[in-house]
Amino acid sequence: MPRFLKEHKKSLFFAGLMFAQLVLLSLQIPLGQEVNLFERTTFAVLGPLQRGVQSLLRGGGEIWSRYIYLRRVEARNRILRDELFHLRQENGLLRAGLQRLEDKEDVSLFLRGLNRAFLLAGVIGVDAVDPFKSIVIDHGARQGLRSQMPVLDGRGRLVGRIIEPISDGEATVQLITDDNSAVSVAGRFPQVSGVFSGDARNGLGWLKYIPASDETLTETEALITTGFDKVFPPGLPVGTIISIRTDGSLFKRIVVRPEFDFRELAIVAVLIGPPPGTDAPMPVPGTGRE
Amino acid sequence: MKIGIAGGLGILAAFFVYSLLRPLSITGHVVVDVYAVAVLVFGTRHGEIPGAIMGAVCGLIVDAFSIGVFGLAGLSLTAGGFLAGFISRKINILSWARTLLFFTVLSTGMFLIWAGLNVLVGLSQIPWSGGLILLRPVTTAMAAAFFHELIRRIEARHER
Repeated sequence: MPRFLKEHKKSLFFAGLMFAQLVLLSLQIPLGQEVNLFERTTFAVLGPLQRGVQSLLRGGGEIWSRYIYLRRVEARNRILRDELFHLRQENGLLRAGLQRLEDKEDVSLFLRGLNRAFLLAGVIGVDAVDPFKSIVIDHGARQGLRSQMPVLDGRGRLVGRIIEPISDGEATVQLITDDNSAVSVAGRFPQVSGVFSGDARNGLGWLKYIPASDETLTETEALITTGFDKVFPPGLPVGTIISIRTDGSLFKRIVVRPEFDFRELAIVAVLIGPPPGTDAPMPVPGTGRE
Repeated sequence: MKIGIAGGLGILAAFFVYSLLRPLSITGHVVVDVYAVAVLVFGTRHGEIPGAIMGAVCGLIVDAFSIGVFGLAGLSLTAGGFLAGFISRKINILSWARTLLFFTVLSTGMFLIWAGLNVLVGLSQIPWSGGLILLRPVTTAMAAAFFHELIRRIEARHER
């Protein structure tokens, strides 16, 4: 027997490794999309490594763009200065308008809420198998992130929600383009609402459960969240309808292009404010700060 | 010890390239499997057992940073690492063309195992990305052959 072991040492080792992988797989299958302890631990161990690599790359990029590649910096600065001026003006006008329109106490509560409604987080990785499924961000449980918190891009457009695994300093974001994601959305007419579900094969999505008899939705129509799912607050831009087909089934086949741009996903905003349906005022997308 | 360091460096390099790909191309990960490149090159250079271990570790990394089924990537990468080490000792892959062919066959096999398991398990879909994923075996093999040849030449120069 020891001789057999000696002769087939390599094959047996390989068989053992494959068996361990199969055990892992068979443990995961009954759990479905749920995260097991082993995956959570692996994520917690490897998350900081990914953050380190990303910081190194970002540092290198910053050295390059700050100290070496300074072409057009002056022109860009001028554009940004002008933009900032306009935004400050607009911000001041909006705040003034708000204060005129509503009760003073409500408004100050609302404005105070804006400042702690978002947590800005950097994207440190994308899904290793399918880039349209998930991303990893550099904030986690330590910063108060929890499962189901909505995530927006820099312009307040819906990106996804926080899901497990969440480690101390990193969290996973399920993108709205994931097949298993579902967001309650509506077009111009709020009474016609459906479910936006991703199509990770190509980064687009489907608007589901719109009856074939419906005539209100049109191509190029923008879709926003309704808040019915109790995960995402109402009014967030989700996507634009790019095609509508009827194929004899009960529901239309509607293809939607998400509003957020994958190439712009360097920084995201996690909505840490109160969930929809509560009495507390909801923040306006894209205006919060850490 | 030396093999362990080489493996660690290989994983770090794959991690680096994986992180670099994101800002360059959204579908970069779909077209080239950087972890498979690391596993194939490492397995071919250091033998079947280190290759299988490297595959298992890379599989864990891929699965940890993906919301798909945990354990799916590990199987194909472990098998790929083992076979790369095992077969490369039995056949002649000294020329560049032979290396490329060898890696193409292996990466196609790994892709088929992974895609087959995806279909079999049925919990997640294959990320087709408009058919781009079908390029993965060839691009992965090309990248692996390139790095394998590069390391070989650097070593040869170093020995001289």
